[in-house]
Amino acid sequence: MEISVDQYGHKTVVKLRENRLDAAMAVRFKDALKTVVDDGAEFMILDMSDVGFMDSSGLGAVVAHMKYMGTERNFEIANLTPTVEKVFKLTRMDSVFKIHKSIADAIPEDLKNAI
Amino acid sequence: MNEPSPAPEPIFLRQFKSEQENVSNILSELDLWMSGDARLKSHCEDVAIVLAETLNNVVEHAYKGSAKGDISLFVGVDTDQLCCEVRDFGEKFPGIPHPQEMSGPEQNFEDLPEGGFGWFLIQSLTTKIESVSDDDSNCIRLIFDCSPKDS
Repeated sequence: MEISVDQYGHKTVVKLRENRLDAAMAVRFKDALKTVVDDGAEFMILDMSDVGFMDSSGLGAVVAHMKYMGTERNFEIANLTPTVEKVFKLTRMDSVFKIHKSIADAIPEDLKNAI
Repeated sequence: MNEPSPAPEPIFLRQFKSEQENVSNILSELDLWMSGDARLKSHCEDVAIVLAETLNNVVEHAYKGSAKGDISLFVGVDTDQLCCEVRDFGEKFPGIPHPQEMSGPEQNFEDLPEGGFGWFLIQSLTTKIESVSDDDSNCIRLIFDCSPKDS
């Protein structure tokens, strides 16, 4: 499981550097994101631009992570590819998460030049 | 003078052991195979989602996580439909569940579902589902409409 972590102000952008988020990856994905939260991330944005495919186990892992972060921290998502977006929409989870078109949309105005 | 034989309909057949990694690899191969056929290309997304859910169910429920089970996947194309057959020799398939609605953001944060999306996705994206199990094996047949108007 490969991720990259970039800090923009108080927002932590975690990019999942895998092309599938599926049953084979779900547990490792949850563990990797949990580590970033335990290291102090209070406002996480998950960049899914590399993820071309996600199944229901992957979606379940994303929901579980949001619940792990709880209501006192923030978890948002950006850059859904078409198949991943379809899974979010069909299951109505697109209305549960705050989903941004791009990372630039998700981070503070004054830090956009840093991308 | 003999008429040229019609081109054979495309077929994708794989037999593999019940491991999640194998499911991922086979589905990547299927995506490549479908992408090469103009008629099937536009159905790659739906077929990938449906087969991922179906094969994961086999790994998790029919074989209960054991990596020793045999799975076969057949994908064939008829004039206007794509048929996928998934066969396993594990625990007897309990039957196709009744379609359910997914609840949205109206529920409590703690109650948001972390699972149970699988059959919903399968039923949302297929034209028809058949269970044709016998005494020795379970077989699920998943039909997708691929008439020319869709391609």
